Amino acid sequence: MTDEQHIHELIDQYLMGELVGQDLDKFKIRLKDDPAFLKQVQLQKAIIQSIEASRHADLKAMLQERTSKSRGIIPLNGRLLAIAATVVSLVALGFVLRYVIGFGPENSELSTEDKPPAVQEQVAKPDAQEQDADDLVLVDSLKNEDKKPLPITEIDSNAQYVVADEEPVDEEIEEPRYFNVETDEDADLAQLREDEEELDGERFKARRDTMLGSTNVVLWAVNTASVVRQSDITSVTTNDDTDKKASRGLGRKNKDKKQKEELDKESVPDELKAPAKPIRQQVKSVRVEFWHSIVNFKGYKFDGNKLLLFDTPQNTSLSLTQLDGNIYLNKNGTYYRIIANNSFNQLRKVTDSTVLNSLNQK
Amino acid sequence: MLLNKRFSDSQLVDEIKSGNEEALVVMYKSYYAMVKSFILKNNGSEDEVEDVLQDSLIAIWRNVNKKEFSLTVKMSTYLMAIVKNLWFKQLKKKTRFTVVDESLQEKITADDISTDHLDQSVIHQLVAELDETCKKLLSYFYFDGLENKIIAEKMGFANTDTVKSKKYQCFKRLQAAVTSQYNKEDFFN
Repeated sequence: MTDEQHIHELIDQYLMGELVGQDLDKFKIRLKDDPAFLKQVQLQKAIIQSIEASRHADLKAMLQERTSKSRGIIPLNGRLLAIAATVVSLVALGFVLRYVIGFGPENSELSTEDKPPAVQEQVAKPDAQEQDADDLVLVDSLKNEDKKPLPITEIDSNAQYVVADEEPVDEEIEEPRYFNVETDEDADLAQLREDEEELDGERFKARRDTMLGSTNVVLWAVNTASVVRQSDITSVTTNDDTDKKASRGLGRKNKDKKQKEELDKESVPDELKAPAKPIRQQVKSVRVEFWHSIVNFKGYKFDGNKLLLFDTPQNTSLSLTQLDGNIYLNKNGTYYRIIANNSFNQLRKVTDSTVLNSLNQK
Repeated sequence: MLLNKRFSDSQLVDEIKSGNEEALVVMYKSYYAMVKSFILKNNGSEDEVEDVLQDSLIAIWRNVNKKEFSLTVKMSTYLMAIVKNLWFKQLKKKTRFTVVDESLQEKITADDISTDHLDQSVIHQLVAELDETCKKLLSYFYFDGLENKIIAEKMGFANTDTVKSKKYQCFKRLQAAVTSQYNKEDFFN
């Protein structure tokens, strides 16, 4: 190792906080006494910072690329598939309990003749229990229960089973191959992820909504502070008045009312008697995305932070205002009330003249 | 495929130590909902969720490769501690209207060495122009903090000495390119 390389590694150790003891002391003295050495350390530090920044950006870009594909506007995600698989499993279990085991209010006393053909065969041939207990085959057989024998899993005759109330419905099971009901949880998750990836892939691209663009819009709060304060004072006085009524009786109602009015006039400061002047305050920036819906949906979806506008051109003039806890969207001069319920909603024009007056005051 | 498997915390740590970036993707997908719930409840947006989660995972990536690292809590707890720290820092920045990038100061501890007089954008550009081998090698060493043995395995070098010598050559090449962009007296009187 050359001297130059040794110094390079020494500087690395110092910058990484790995230099200790006498070596560190010597290094610091040299930093103080040797300006050229100081510059060398500065340069090495600056280069390392750039390398770090570059790697940080690369890793972020990799994560962005690898994870953005898995989230779309149409909620065809793994969770839904899992729910669907659970529903199908329950229906299948209900079917097994009712027709295979014969466990149910009306089936509990079924004779051999009353049971479905598959069960008859099972009763006639006890050896059939040795068949492969593959639930996939079981679900497939739901469609053709009169043609194929129904494979049976091992049944514990002492076990307590919940009786399914509904009749098994054949139409609900359209694609049984997707719901391979295995007990291995890992295999289930793997299957669901595969399905999810498949749904996110090329095959289903045409079914997705498309985002046309996005922008950030400032949410302004209109605060009619003076109006609020005036009404607060009135309500406080009214409460006092109620107490007085309770103690003195209703006979003095009119007198008290006059007193209250006089009291109100005296207690309200002059500045609060002036007409309400709204104050506009910046609340936050809301991300607005313009989307084209595959079903030509016209409306919006808002979760409180992000507003998705469907069928609204990107060049539309937009503003957002918060008034009395409600949020209003101004789209090309027309106000619509926006509800943050994270659902797809229609845009509804604001018609209340009081609200419109407050919104239009600047 | 890594994404289709479930990992224990110690397996994730091992994958990170071996420099497998897939571990970050797995963790991102596993913890996204948890982080999203926290950020949205604390005045954040969905875009900020992504940003904070990415930065937190990258911080874990770097920390795991430090010599003194030892995971004493669940990975999710550790991640959430970093997420909360980063997010509250960002909220503070938002309220004070100051923009200070502290994320790059994590590893280099010699804060008394000022580099303010150097135009970092020039150096960024030169790093970007490095050949892929040098860029990877320097990144693995300085950012990821991978051991020389692992760098040798990942990059197909014969041994750790080759890593050291290659790394030095790459650094010197970059340093020469940087100094050529400045007046010599900026660095050496």
